Amino acid sequence: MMKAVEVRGLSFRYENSEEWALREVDLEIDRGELVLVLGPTGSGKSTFLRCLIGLIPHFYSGEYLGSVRVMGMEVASTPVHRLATRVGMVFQNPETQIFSTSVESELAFPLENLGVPPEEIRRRVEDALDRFGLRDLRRRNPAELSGGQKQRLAIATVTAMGPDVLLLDEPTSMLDPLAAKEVLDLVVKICREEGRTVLVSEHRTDLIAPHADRVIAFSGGRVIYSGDPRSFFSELRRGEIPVPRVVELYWRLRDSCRLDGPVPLLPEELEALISRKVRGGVGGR
Amino acid sequence: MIELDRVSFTYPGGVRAVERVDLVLRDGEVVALMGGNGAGKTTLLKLMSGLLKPSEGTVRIDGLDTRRTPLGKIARLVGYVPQIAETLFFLESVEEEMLYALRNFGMLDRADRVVDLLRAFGLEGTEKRSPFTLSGGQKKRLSIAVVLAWEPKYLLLDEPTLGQDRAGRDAMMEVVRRLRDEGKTLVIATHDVEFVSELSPRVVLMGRGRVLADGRAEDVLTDEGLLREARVLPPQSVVISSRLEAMGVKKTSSFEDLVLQLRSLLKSVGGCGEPEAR
Amino acid sequence: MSLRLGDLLRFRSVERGVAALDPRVKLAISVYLFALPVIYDRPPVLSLAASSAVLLLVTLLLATVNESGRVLRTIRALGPFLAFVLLLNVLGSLTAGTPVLTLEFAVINAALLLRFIAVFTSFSFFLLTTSPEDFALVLRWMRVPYDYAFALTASIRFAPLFLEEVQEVIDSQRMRGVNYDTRNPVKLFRNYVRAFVPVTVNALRRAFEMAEALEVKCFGAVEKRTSYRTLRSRRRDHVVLIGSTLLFISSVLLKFYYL
Repeated sequence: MMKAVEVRGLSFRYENSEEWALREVDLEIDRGELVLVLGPTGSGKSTFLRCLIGLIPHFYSGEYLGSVRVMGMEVASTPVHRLATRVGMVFQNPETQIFSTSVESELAFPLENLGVPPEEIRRRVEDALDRFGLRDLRRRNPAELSGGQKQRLAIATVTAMGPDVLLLDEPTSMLDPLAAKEVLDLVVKICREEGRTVLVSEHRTDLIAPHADRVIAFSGGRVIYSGDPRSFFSELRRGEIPVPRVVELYWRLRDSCRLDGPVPLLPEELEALISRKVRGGVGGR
Repeated sequence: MIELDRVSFTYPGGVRAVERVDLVLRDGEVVALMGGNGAGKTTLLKLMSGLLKPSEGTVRIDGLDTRRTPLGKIARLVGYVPQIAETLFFLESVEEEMLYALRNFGMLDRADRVVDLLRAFGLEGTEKRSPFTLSGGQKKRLSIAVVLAWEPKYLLLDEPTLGQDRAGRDAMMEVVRRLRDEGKTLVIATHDVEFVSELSPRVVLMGRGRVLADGRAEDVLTDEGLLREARVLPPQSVVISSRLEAMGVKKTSSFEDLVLQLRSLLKSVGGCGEPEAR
Repeated sequence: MSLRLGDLLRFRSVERGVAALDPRVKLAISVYLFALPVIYDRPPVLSLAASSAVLLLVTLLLATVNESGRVLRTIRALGPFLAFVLLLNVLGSLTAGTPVLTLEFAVINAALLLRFIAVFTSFSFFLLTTSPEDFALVLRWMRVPYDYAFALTASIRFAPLFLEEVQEVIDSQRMRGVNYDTRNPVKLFRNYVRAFVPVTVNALRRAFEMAEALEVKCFGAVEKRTSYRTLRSRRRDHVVLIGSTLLFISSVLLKFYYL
């Protein structure tokens, strides 16, 4: 079956830059996967996402090596507006990705740009209003919405274009924790209920790591890991890569005690682990 | 001392952002102003800085009424670090930015502090560089350094960890801890619960413009009902320790405390002993 | 300053009354209101009457959306400028030797100032009750290329944000000892200019973010852009249009007949 994303030997250096932003990235992502992209600022996460949607090399120039195929399309040779119907992207700043003065106009905006017939636009806007709980807000000015609502609108707008793959570049970094949770829950829902492939680059690992099918970790422009989240968090990584608190706790405890079982990603998993230990009693298994 | 006496504030559009707040901040205190979006944190911070004058009530800084005192005089005492570091920068070099306020306040005799300050913030050697060429984390730290140049007595920080990665947040924690140890009075408006639980300052929890709670981080952050009312998520330590209460673990907002509690719990069931062989 | 300007850019969404008319009709009315004081420029008394009538009409229209005080507020805001114009006229008359302290002079200048205010506020009803989207639709209907219509609506959409940011920058500057309350105009000007750099830098950064988002939303992908909403005029729009056009034409004819 066609992979959602296939990257071979991708290297990229921005124009006027001495450093390579991405070095020899090789990876594959299956359809329907929820992927968590991790790494410190400047490690190449954002650059990588832009390579998947075609902003690199079509919008940003520089030295581009290797190949990227998304949903079977070769990114370097497909114009962004054609890619944008199969791949959507939501950015960090809720403000600068909304252009209309009403919620429903914003939902319609990309569809108008694509020349979609008005009847079809109407249908998709109504559909998006329902699916994303925006019906009561349809005539409101997006400027009056909260940060979380704005990001919800941004996600709804991009999804209305019907992409198979959704990319989110640090969507919650400007939001408060409650809004962040709402947005990330929405992201998980989109992946599971609508079967889309989703890549999220995030620092708030507590909220999303438990749901991820795959973790891709970047460091210095290279992919240092691509695979199962639990295995990733099983190897202690200090410093740069953010780690869910539960995992941190697990590792602090393992310094002095033996804990059986896979590394927990959720508080309830840690609870189960510890209660087993407590019930197991004396004798250190 | 910063005193807020029955302070209310309504924005010109009619939005009542702060509702009858009474607050006293003593010298050397570290206070976290917490609350969800629209709770009034930034507004309160601006009222404390004198940028906004209260619609009702009085704000006094070291006895000076913000309504009756020229802002220039208050600005010497209160350093305000905005949310977005870039709002500050407009000069050619880091050095110039550091000296700017000193010039305005007529304090150029303090110019030698600049080098020490930059070193303290990990910005050594950047003196001649343009502030716009610094990384995000460096800019954030520079924005604080710039404000500290004239040694204001009070430092108000608006969301210092916003949009930062792990390294940035750790660096910010170090900066804040050092300032606390130096005896600076700090007011930090933030929704970063993890940061606050680690720092463990006095916490003033706000919701819809009112003060919902004012106490130790330990007490406020473990009250889940209160946090829910303020639209704030509890820190993970609280979530985890809550779950383990049945096993005798005490609910705590301190990660370190949780680690200690769990270690002793596991030791007590004899599940520990030799550290795991690597 | 910043808040009042932002006020101007916010529109009211109304479903009933005059404000709910087809924006093209509202635009036509605005054009008539704009043209009348210009056409009725002489004699001064007539001009005064015409401008007053227009101002009254504008106020009545604004009253339907609870904004009747806007005209007076605009006059107050324009105060310094109007006083300046008056001063120039006075000086001009004095140097030319024509008498200043006469009724004639007063009437002429009153007519001049009132005409200015009438013309200035003539479009306020249209702007206040037309959403940027509708405004863009009107422009498209007038065959203005989409890029320009979009530039207009995007400016309106982002202006409040921009103004907020200017305020943030000025606040930061004030906390670093820069005085914006000074009476010295040179110093004040310089201080505002200082705020210019961070605002511009931020604006550029944001422009980049916007450009990326537009790419991803397929801006400019297709020559023939479709529209989610269209302008639809109803019978009452036609009635009002015909009525106001007849009124306008008769006013114009009256003027030339009278002359």
